[in-house]
Amino acid sequence: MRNSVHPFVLITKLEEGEESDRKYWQVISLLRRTRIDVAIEAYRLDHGQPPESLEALVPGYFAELPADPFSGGPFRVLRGYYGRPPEDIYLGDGETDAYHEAS
Amino acid sequence: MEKPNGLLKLLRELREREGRDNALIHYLEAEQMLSTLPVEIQKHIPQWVRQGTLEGSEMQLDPILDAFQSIFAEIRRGAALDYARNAGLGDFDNTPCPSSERLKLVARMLCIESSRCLSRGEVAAAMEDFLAALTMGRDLTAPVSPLTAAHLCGLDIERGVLDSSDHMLSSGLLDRPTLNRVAARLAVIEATTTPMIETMEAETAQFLKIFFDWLAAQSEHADDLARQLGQPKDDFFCPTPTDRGAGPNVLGGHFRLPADAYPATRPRRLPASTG
Repeated sequence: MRNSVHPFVLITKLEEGEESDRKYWQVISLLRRTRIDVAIEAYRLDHGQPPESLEALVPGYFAELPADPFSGGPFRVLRGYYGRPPEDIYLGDGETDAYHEAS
Repeated sequence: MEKPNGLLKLLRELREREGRDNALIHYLEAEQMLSTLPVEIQKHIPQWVRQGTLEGSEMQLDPILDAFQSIFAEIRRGAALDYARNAGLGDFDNTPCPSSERLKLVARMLCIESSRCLSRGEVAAAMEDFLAALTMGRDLTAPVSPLTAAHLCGLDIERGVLDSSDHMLSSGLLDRPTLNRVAARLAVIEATTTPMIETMEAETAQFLKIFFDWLAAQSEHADDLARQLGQPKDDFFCPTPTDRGAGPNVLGGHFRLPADAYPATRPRRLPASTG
């Protein structure tokens, strides 16, 4: 066993945890927005046009709308369909710019 | 084939002991298979890993994706298991970690394969590859013996896969049954992606156990440690769970050592010194 263990490493680990936890919630946020996107597409197939508002997805597509994990309320920003070419798909840490204000 | 990394070796041993296959093994094997690709593709991999995209490559996409087929098959095998576990911490800096950037590359390539399938009208295959890549990300956050490094890699993969879903959802090619399947799977992925805080807490608990096992086994270090921290030695060594524990300046004051964690010769703290 190594002899250089220092307990202050623990303090550093706990501080790093806050930033890492934010990454988790960003992914949850993205998952929920994608679920809403899927529901919008399903609504479009069923009704021939997208819903007027997200509330139209309840109760047919959601028992209740997925909440924004950061605000705890409804999403104000939705993902957009940009049809980006596959070469542009990026698996990195950068913030995604594929959002737009819901109309 | 590259020499298997330490994590893959550990997970294979765990599989033997558990008698149950583990998705992480297949993902790590897929990552290792990057080294079996044709040389003309392999020479681009460091650049692709570094920049996160295939931009700047002069190669056509089709032959690259064709060469990745066996790698994709390995990821699909792993994702189909719907079971993953990690190996946890080793002894501190000897902890075997996944090669995160290479894992992210193979997941990304599967997303591109999904796009190719979609462009060919193979909607079901496109959707399955999209969900397999997403499941790979989820599996890397597996809650059993978690590892922060793998968890972060898994979150990056999930995020990248979701970012790549625009073209599929906006294609107008998905029918209702397919959308139902995607919706159901996304809900499952959301519910089963392990919260980061749980992995951090589990890893910290493992870290503490390793640390105190080491400390208890080498009680002569207590004097050095107390001197370095400027704290009484008794703040670090407590004989029973009712004592003060590690002390607020070191471990937040909420950690208690089991009474049997110490050698019998360990010096006992006097009641008068507990404060």
